[in-house]
Amino acid sequence: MSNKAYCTRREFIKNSARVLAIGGVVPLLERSSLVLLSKKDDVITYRTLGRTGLKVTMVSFGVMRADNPGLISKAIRMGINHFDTANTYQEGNSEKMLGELIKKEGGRDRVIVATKVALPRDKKAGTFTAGATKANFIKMFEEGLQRLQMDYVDILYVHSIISPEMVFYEPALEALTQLKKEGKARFSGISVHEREDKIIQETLKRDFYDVILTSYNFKKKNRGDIKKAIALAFQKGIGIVAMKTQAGGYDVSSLEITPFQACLKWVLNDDHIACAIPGMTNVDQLEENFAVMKHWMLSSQEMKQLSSYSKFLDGNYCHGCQECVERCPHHLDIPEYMRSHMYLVGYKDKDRALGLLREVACYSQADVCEYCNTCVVRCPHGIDIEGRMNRLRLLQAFS
Amino acid sequence: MVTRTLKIKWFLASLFSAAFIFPFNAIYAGEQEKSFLMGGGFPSQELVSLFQKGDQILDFRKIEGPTYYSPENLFDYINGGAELFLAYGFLELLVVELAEDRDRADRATLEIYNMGTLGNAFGVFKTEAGNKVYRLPGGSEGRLENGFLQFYKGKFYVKVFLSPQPQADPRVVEEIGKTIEARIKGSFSQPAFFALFPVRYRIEGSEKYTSKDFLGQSFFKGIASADYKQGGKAYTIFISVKPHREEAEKAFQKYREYLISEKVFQGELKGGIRGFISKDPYYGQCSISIIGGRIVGILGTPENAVSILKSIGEGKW
Repeated sequence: MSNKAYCTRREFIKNSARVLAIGGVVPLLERSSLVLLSKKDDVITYRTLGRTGLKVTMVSFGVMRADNPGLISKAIRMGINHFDTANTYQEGNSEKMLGELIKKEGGRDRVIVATKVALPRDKKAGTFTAGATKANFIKMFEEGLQRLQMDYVDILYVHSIISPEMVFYEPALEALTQLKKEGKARFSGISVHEREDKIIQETLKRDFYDVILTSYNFKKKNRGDIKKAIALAFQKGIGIVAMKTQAGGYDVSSLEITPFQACLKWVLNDDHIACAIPGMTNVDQLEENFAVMKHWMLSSQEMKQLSSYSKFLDGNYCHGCQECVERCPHHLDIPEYMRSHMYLVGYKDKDRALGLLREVACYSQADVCEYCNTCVVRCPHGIDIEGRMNRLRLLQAFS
Repeated sequence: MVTRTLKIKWFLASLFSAAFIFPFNAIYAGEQEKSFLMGGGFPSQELVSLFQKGDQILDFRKIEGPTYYSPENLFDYINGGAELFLAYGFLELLVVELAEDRDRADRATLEIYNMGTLGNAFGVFKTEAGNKVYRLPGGSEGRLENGFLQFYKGKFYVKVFLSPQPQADPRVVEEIGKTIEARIKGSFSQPAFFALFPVRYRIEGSEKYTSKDFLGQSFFKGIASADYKQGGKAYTIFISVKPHREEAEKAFQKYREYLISEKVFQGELKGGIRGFISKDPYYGQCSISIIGGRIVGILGTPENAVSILKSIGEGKW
């Protein structure tokens, strides 16, 4: 097979033989995945996206940013065949860039294109708002289609469903039905970022959607429930695409490991998930994620990496719960200090850390806390508040 | 050893704290409770002051918000779109919904992003808005199209937009934008690093700033660029905005290694300048050099790449 995202029957037979011949490189028969080799002997693994029958590369591409068109070209040439965008990403520039590149790289039929339409919604109420009409949905989609320079998309999602009540929103269903009938959207779906298990289960109540794009990673508190819901959806023939698989993509340079392959594998080890769509912005990330298709089984070493990464995230991530503010006798704005620390240690950006400290000092009428000899505040999520405050004090003293 | 005078000083200081500082903190904390960032913490006073409670613009007034977002929860508001903002150093966001009255579907949404620096605000604006130039009354660079206004001023990137297919007067977005523009302190300017770029042949509005992963390479960080057209030839000049000899050297070498591994490296630059020429597999012909601790490069094939690079180094263009 050439390094293209599709293969002929002859190529498939030839490559299957090559894979078998190099036996042991990939656990070929272990899963219902289709494994192919590109020209450079990179392994490309496809899975079927539920009842759509689409064969998507297990590692697909989330195109949130449009400032690296060369990277998308590289991904297409490497063999990634499924690209996910949305009408809202970069105010439509993401769709525009993707459309131009697909044209340049040689043809619409080589790739599977998914986009989304975001209808106006009331976040607090978990409902769509008055502007969320069938006409507006179609208008927004048509504009996106023009930017993509395509006659149709393969998957069209109703973007960001945040409550079960929003799943079967009639104006959206009518718009999707019409667009499918007109051949402008081959398959329909929803994207889900929160309350995933509940929303997926709601989706199963009617036989309407073909695909669910869900947030899913090893750090999700409700990951067990999501897994069960995904299995049920899979049994009903719904294709599952996973996003937010890297659990935030925090700067891990201080960890001395790169846990992101392990994060991706953790998700893809679930057979019910057809593919993941990590967002990538540079060649290193692309190659790192692409390589997962060669060995997608989690090793014990990678399990350990995930465990370290999990602890790292637990100890670094301020959830902004405000409990520390309550516990501090001076009601200092500790979450802001923790954010400053995140800039300092996580992003290695001293200027931003200092800038934020100055802002906090401005409205708190105080520099970094100097009130107590011993900090009495304990973070419910295990952040070492006292240690971080000491570090920030040092930063301020020596800047 | 602690003297008696020192003890008295401490005692007086404690009394002062009890009498003034604690009540002040408590009052201040109470006031701030109303404007928590969604992810925890407080928005900066600078951001809070940009939208005022009683604001009414062409009969539009606040019906919801302000709601504030931090880097930890920006995904809750714009999902995958947050990645771009986080890459450009996003600090905080204020969102307000305005309408003529509560039941009207015609809503205007105001979003003010504090991006920390002018460079970041400019970078994210250009990535979203493209090259079409629109000037606000105060001179700020923006884009206005179909009831959608975007502009940047200082460290703030502002968006104002109407709900889809609005019945409302589209002038409302301009009026809201004008109000916010006037409230952002200082006068408008582009990031200072564009003074490094030749003015001649530059295409107006083509300036960009990429915070990281320029050309899809993790080692190219903080790169500004602008497009040029000279004769029939189009090309792009790019320069790292912060001079840093070691970083520039590292990026220069890594890019060279990458191009060699891709078998597209063509050779050293001639004409008394340190650098090389190559064909980037995805961005085409490239000439690159280190000048004054900065990466300076040209994408495309101008007739005189070396003399352009030299002129940038000497500031004589």
